[in-house]
Amino acid sequence: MNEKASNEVVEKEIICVICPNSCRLKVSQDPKTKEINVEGYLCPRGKKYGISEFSNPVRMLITTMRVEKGKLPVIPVRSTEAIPKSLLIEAVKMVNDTHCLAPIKMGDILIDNILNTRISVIASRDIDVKS
Amino acid sequence: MENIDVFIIGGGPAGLAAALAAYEEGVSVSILERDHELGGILQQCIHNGFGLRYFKEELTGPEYAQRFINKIKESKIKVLLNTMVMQITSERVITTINPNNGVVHYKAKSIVLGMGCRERTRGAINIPGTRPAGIFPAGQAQRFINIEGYFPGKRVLILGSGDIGMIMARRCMMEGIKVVAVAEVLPYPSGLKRNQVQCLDDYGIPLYLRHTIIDIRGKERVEGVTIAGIDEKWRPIPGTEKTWDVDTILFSVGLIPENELSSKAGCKIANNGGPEVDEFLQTTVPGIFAAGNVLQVHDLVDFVTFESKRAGINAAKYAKDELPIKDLQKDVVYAKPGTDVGYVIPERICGIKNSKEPYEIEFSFRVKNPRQNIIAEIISKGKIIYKRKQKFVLPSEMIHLKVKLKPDDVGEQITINIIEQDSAINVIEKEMLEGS
Repeated sequence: MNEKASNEVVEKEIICVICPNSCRLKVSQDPKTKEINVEGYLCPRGKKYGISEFSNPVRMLITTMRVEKGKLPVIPVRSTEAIPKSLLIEAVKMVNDTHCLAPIKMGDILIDNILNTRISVIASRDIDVKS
Repeated sequence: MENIDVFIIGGGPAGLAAALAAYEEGVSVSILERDHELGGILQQCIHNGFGLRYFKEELTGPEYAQRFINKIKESKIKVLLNTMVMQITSERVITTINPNNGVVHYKAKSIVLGMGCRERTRGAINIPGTRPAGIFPAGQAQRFINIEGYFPGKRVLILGSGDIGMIMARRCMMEGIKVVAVAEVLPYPSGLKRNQVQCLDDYGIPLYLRHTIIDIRGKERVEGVTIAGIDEKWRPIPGTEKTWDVDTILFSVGLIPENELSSKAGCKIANNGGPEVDEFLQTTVPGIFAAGNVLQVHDLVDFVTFESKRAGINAAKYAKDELPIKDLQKDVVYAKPGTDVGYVIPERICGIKNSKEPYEIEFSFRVKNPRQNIIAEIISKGKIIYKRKQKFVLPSEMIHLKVKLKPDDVGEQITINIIEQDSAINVIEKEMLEGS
């Protein structure tokens, strides 16, 4: 019917991780209408996951940052929300290049607006000053 | 310290929850912790996914711990850090040692064991090859990277696809440590699907199922590793070998409850490696309770918290002489694992026979194999006295059953079975036919 369009359809296989069903989703996008089509899900959550994982996959940024004058040499940090998957490695690099100074409290903002995502990197715990 | 009622052994998630719960019952509480800080293993589990059940929000491990630590700080609970418990006697005398006070003994009215578990090592699973440096349990490597701030190596192979192994694979890749592969002896990954997708697939790390290590090379330091496929009898299949040059091998091959103190105190140890307990989480030694991974290895910390709170409350009640059943040896009902069930906790139920009303019990257990469309049933005196349908069961996901049983329905023993739904329905129909 529409040979040209069907040739350009991008199709991805995604495993849904919402529940133990682990549905194998086939997600494709119509190049003309940009509509995203999901097949193979057993519940609406699977469809929603398929669309978000296809169009804008996101992951939490979870790593450690160097601490100066702290009781421990590193502090665990996380992003306040999941950031685009494509920025993850760059964001980890940025955290690795940043140092913070003890004392630190859980929730302290250590990097504001990382890579212009409007998402912050915060401390996961308290770290006292080394005595 | 002379007048402390309840002593908590270990300041990890189990100890923190038990201490706070006991304290809220109005008794004096002390935590004995061998590390320099509270929080236990949570402090190195920096990833998120904790707290969804207990706090109804997603937290990292350190955040989950910090919430409890902050509450402990606000309380009058006495925390002794850098304090190793050497021995507990059946009379509840605790022998400790720490750098400031040397050896000190305490007499407890009651005790909660919260020592957690430790990792199974290479030596425990008979892996051939040389014995160079660079071979670590995955959790130890996790501590090096996430708490102590240095890397165990540059090129890694991971044996075992448990959650710790897969999470460490991602953590290594993020820090620029190359993970060449994850090998798993089972035909399915032993951790959560979510971790397989987000920790291995995201980073293109190959997972070899039904594979194990057949050789480790290197004299001073690991230089290389060879894995091979295995047959049904777990023998290597010639021709399936794959070899990599690596400097580090991580083992994520299971956890063992740490019960040396418990057995020395006289607690009977059950088949799953934890102390045998009753429905109050009391061990076979009166006044000594157990909760968390020392009792059974959990997959979610939230359930450690729920379990440990119960142990803490019951330990406080024991100290106040308020625990409803003190004489444990009368009219005990034993709970046994039946078809496809690995173990059942509690193993003993002490209060049901003397109860006048339906008696509430919280069981937790694991299945032996992954199954679909099953019925979990409780059988006593040859009859099904409880049943519940479930769509999926996995060995990696603990099952919790909160049930109310009628004392008259229960004999000297009850059995928990997992059966496929079709055959279960047949049994029930058959009983109905016989009954009519």
